[in-house]
Amino acid sequence: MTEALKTAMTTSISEVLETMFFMTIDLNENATADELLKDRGTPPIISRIGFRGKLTGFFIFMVPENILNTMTETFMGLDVDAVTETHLQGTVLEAINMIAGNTFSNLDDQAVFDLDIPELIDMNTAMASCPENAPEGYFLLVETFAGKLGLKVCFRSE
Amino acid sequence: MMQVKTLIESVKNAGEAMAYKMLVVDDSLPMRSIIIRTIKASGFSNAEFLQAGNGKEALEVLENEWVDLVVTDYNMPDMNGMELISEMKGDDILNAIPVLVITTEGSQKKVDEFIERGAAGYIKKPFTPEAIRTQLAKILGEVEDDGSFEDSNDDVDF
Repeated sequence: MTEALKTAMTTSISEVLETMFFMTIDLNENATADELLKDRGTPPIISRIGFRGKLTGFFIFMVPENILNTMTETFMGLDVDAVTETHLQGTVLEAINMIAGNTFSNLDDQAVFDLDIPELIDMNTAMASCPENAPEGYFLLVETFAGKLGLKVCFRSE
Repeated sequence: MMQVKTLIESVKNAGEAMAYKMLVVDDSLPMRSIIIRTIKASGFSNAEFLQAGNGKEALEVLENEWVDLVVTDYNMPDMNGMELISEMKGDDILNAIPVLVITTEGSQKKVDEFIERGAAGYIKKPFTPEAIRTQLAKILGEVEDDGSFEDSNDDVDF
């Protein structure tokens, strides 16, 4: 299941970032979240969404603020000066919502996964977000023209 | 002179009366913005838009406003898109309003349920402008090409 989920997840983030944010990406499947933290120029804004179904767990999306600014400008068609904190937060929340839903569509469109309402979390919560009840996990470093961002999933099979 | 001015006003008002009024329901402000921008760029540049953050707010709007189309997300706090459709289809007046669902929920079972409950159409996020244009044409009738479709990156104030 881990390999199938990885494939669905990489396809999903490509589709979401290219279709909704016009960002072409390169994926590094062997990186860790530490590489994102070392690389970042600005603190990341982090969103998380829980899911339940034949897999239960959550996705975490980490986007440095400067990249999120670029994404938000594109997504909402705003000038850079018009982007507010509310816009940034809304964009990172909607992005993880789309990535999660699209991952499960790619994984198995006959299965039903219930998605929670996405939420904002801090870095400490994100780094501690693979508890013992969700032992399987996977981190994906996403390289864009604007910099690097990260996508993490933790889950357990039902 | 007065008659000409009156005639111009009449023509102007007639044009405005023909413009569609749509209610966009999504708990994400950026997503509402991009949906509105995409619809405007899909041949509905004169459409008037109302917004709501969940199904409950949408029903409050519909108590006082008639709209030609409701465009709704599924996964929202307080009242989700499925519950909104059920409420509308159970109402003698609101059941005449077509509902287009735009959501990350991609399972075939959920799609079938939306249609069974009375949704007029369904679009999965991430979506392309073409997908929205196709669904609007199906629900509201063929869309005149006013040249705005190619300008989908035009800024729109929200």
